[in-house]
Amino acid sequence: MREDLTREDGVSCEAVQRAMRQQAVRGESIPEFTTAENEHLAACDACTEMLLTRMLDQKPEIVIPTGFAVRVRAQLPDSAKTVRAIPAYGLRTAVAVLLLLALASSVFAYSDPRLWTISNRLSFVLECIVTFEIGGIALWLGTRRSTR
Amino acid sequence: MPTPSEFEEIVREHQALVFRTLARLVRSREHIEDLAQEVFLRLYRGMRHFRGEAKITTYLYRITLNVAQDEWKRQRGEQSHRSLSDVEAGWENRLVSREKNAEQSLSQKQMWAQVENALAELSATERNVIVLFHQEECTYEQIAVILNLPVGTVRTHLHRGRQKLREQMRERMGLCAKT
Repeated sequence: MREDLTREDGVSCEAVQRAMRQQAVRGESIPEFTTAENEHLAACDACTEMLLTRMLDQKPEIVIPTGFAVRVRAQLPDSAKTVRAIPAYGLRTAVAVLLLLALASSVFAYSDPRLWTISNRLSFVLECIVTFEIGGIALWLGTRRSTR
Repeated sequence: MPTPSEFEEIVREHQALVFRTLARLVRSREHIEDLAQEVFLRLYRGMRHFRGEAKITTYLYRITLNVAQDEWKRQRGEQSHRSLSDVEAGWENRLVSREKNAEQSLSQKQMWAQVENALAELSATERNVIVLFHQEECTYEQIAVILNLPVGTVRTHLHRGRQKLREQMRERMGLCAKT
């Protein structure tokens, strides 16, 4: 294909690619082509590939605004303000309800000794377990901190 | 979680990477600083969960690509396809015309515009892979981690993207040669 192209348009791949390399050495950002070279590039895979690679490999020239990092820092959320404790009255209410529940269970269990049967004892134990579970949840929620 | 001064140092260290990648991926430079700020603020928020298993640059590239993608969608809704003769648009603004005559500069701008327009017609993944591979010099494996894709898929996207770019460039070269 290359030989045919050279015969048809009078431009060889070697010449086009050499021109691109020389332009790169001179530090030219984008190669400059004659009409004949453009015609050659339009029909030649290898040369277009080289041109494309050269163009894509170039990094865009950027200007980072002065003080950019400082401006970003100024916009950072204040981490101290974001940590928020759940109000203490929630924990106090949870503890009060827990104590009330434990007290009520004990009063009902010992109010009439005749009712102190095996099945009632079992119910009392289950009530205690539930009470402790609620107490655990209340403590966990009460001591947890949230971020907003 | 870094302190604000530590984070400022991270910003200084990586700001060029973010600006460069955004410059290639978004078509307008008007909002690049805002976008870069958004990238770093997302990074800061995400650092609470950053355990250091991955490199910070991988995380940063991922955020940058997401921000660029959002901006790309926003811009796409706003503006239609730019013509090749629109020399004020996109990449060509970033070129510095040193010791070039006006005719040559115009031609170079047109050349960049061709590549830019061709890139714009690729899919987001193809565009991201091409920019990471060529401009950022990432390996296939690094790109695979950044984009969360298998290495083979990265290769396929790169190959397809380059093929599309080559075809479009050849087409446009042919048009240039005829005029």
